[in-house]
Amino acid sequence: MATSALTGKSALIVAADSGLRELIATTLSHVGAQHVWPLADPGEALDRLREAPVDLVVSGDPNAESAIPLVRSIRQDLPTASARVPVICLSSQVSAEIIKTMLNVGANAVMTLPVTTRRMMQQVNRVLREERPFIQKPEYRGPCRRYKADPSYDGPQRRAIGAAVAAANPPRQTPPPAKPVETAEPFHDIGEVALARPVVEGGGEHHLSKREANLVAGVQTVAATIQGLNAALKSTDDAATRKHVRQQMVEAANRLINLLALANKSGPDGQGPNAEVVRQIDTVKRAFFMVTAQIARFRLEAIVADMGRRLESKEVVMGAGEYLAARLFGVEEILEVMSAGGNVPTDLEEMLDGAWDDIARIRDLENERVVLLELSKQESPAPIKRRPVRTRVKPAELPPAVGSQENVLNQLDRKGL
Amino acid sequence: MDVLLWSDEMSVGNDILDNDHKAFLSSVSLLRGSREDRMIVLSVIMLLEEYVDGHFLREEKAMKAANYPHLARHRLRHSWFRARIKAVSEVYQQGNDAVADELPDLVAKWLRQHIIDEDKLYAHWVSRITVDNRPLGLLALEAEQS
Repeated sequence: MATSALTGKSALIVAADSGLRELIATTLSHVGAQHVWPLADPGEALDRLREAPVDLVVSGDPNAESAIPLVRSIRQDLPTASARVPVICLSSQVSAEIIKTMLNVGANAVMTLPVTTRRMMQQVNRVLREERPFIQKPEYRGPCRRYKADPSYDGPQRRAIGAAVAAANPPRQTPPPAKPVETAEPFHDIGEVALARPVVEGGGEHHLSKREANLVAGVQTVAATIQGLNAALKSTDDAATRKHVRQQMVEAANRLINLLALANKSGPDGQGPNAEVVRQIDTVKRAFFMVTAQIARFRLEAIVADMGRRLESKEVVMGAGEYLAARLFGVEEILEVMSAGGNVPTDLEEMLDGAWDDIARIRDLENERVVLLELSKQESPAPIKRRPVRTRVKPAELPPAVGSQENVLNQLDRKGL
Repeated sequence: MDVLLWSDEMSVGNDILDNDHKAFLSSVSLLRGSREDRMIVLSVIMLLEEYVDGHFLREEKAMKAANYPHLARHRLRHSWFRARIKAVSEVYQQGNDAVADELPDLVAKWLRQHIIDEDKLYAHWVSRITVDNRPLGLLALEAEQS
């Protein structure tokens, strides 16, 4: 499990710009800092450091060179206990030359904006955890600037500034590719969802506006997601697959809502998107609800059959209720997504209600088994800790706050997107 | 009333979760004074994206531990909320700076509405369990990896 080296510790922030100062303070709080002192004036910061050491200093200035005098003063002018503090410099843009200068005056790390909690945590963990000797020589006072020697390296010992830049500014991480799911049997009847071709109206050339191109791109993304869901239709109903399906489904549903709202709005020219685009959105919407309904039905029927067998034979092993409830919860989530579009078949709802009742019966059987076991030991049976009985949450309407998404869409419209 | 100000009616009765909500409003308020510096605005938007990942994971873990019966619906609401923040982020990163102008009030209204309509419903349930109190950044990391 990841940990933050700053948890419960203190940090001093020096930034003249109030927005940047507050941004750094918020970021450090999210990284776990217990005490944060945001200061605008470097002189005041040095006075504060003279009074008592802190665990970390973060200097922020759009102009990277502005931080150099502060770092130099921390290293040269303060008592050793305060001068040893790790210093991170944050700026809008830094060149390799400035990084070199900053490291040479004693900075531990140099970061560029935009800053995120994740990037800040990486740097904080690095500077607080690294075992770097503190050098105190007449010509330099600060963290050792040598990198750890690699015993297997026999080339010239040169410092690569590029490595420092790369370490200070790692690229943004891209999300890992979606986990593939097992495919048991393809489901063919989902209509036309392969929409990679450009939209052509009336068989002739049609130049897509930027707005229409956005819509088509969105349709293609949803279509690809539906294909993924289709592949998961009869895949193993385990925790990992349920999670994958849920993520894919919610992503597709969210994009669909955006697409439908955008398609219903007039563009900058006062006209809506062309009929072909609207038709494609409608096709992909129907395909989405068809596939989700198929997945929900297939899984629900499998769970109901499983429960029926267990209840009939009364062979209920401990933990069965928990296991079946987790599977049923996955189906409930699918129906919640469908309910937002008002597309939950009544028989599925009734089947789900009945399934939750069966879960309660299975849990009763589990509890009876606990009592029997206790009695067989001729001890007073422990009070049974009954889990609250889940009840089906009635399908919700579209969340009322979705209306506020109109504002974002208005922004898009105003910009002609 | 300033939508970025915390009010007692927003309390869910748990200090950790209340502090998260306060931190969110505080983060959003950063946008009011920093709209001219694009890199700061972008940082705040990315911070909000991480915030919702971390905070929503904290809430969902608490609701799950409390056997909260409306967890499925609440997770879906979180997904809507996350999608809105993501949509704003994407639009801004595509160069539409104007979206940041309305962002503070817009996002704060979303949050207020979500807390009052949804979060308050779990208040009684989570009052009996221990809520994960790790920093938001760690939870955001866990949400990304899980």
